[in-house]
Amino acid sequence: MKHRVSCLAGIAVSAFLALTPAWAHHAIAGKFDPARTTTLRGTVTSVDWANPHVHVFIDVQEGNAILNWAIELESEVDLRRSGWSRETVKPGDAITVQGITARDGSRQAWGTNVVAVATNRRIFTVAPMPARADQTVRPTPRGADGKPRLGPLPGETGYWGMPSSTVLMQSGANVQMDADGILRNIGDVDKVAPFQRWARDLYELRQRNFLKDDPLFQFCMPPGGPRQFQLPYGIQFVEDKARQRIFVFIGSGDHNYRLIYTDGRAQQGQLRGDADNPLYYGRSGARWEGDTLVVDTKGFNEKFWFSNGGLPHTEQLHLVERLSRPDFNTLKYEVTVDDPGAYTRNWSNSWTLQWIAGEELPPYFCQDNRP
Amino acid sequence: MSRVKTVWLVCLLACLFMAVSAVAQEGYPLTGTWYGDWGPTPTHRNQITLVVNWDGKTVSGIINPGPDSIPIKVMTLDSSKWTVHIEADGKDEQGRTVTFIADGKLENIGSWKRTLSGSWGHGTVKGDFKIARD
Repeated sequence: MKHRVSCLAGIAVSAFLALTPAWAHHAIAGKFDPARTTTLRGTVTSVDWANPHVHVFIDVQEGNAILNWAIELESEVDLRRSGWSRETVKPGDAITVQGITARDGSRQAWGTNVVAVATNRRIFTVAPMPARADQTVRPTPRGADGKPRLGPLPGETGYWGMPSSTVLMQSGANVQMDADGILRNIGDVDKVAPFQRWARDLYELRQRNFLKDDPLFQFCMPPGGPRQFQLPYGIQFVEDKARQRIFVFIGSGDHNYRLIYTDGRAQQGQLRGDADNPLYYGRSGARWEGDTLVVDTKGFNEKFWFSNGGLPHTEQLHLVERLSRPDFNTLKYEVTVDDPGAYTRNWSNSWTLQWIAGEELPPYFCQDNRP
Repeated sequence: MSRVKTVWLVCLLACLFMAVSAVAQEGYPLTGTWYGDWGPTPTHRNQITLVVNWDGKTVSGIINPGPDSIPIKVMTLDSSKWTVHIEADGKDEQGRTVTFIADGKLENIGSWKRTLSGSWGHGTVKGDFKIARD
């Protein structure tokens, strides 16, 4: 009996958009085609419960053959937060999966709707992050020096997440993108940033490929630049005042960290021969201007994407970031992009992040399960 | 013994992954070191290395770094078609200075291991080339 059923592309796209959580941490459209829907009924053979995406493998009877399909789901972090676990389904369980299939024709599907046959219960749904509007309004916390604290108070926990924007474009641009940075209208390419021609064409190419070459997705490369402030698993500041440095722990960047020095040191390598070695997070120096931490960073390499949508950059990238905490629960982030290798002029944008009180950064490691 | 093999295999895969990661380059599409060959026929080939830089306005670089290196005189990218034009002054087989002109097309631009292939010539001598970004 054949269980695979194709549906109309329009319905598929609508269902995909409706069912895909805004917090998908990268563009799954690069791997799966929203226009190619499928329904599979099969028996679970194994569960790979790991980041960045959980996989459930099922045997599906197609004609006289039994074929094994890989059903890709959201991250372990999102599924666990939504109440699911590796025990939700076990080998031998029957499930029905509605999803979209891989662009390369392999037996892989992104599961948009998974139902346990025995209970007819929908499983592996991802709940949206709970609203933080009910958090107590508190003034900006300050350290002994009177400057705003960017991290938690002593004895408390929390981190910054839920950015008000997960896409990067020049301020004032009237451009619609999805949460992963994919343009709704490819004709809007020229509005996104003041590109040099090659950068514009490379950006368009990445968009037309649905960001499938994203090195964060392909090789778990660190999210340097403003991207670290636009990913789903947040950031945390640890201020080491004694050594005049601030650690920025990056939840979606495999818990690796970036260092911001406040001791006025030169933005160059600390080891002989390392001065010209460009880095994923560049070399950051910062100073306080009133209640705003102004961070100047240069010395980036070209091995990563600095935005979710695939905006190109070169080693000439120079960022000026302005961080402020207007109240306890809000972090304001402003960035000016200065890269004469890729753009014709400087451009900027800003957004806010919310304080996720009482929680630590989620344990997310892309390398747990990458091809 | 099988455990030793497994550990060795894991280490090998880890090294390969690091090697792949170490060479990824996402900026200006021509920047980097390119290796490949060129020649007048499929059986008459010569190894070639290009080291290419981008300063934000112009492309510069050298061919075959070392004592016999040749500076790239002109290198331009037409990103609307992803085609590349190269000019460099080198020596022909008789030792005379000639201008080599090559035109190629970039492939697999989204890949860390993109390629550039096409034709080259000086005077009536012609051939092809294919190089890949390391």
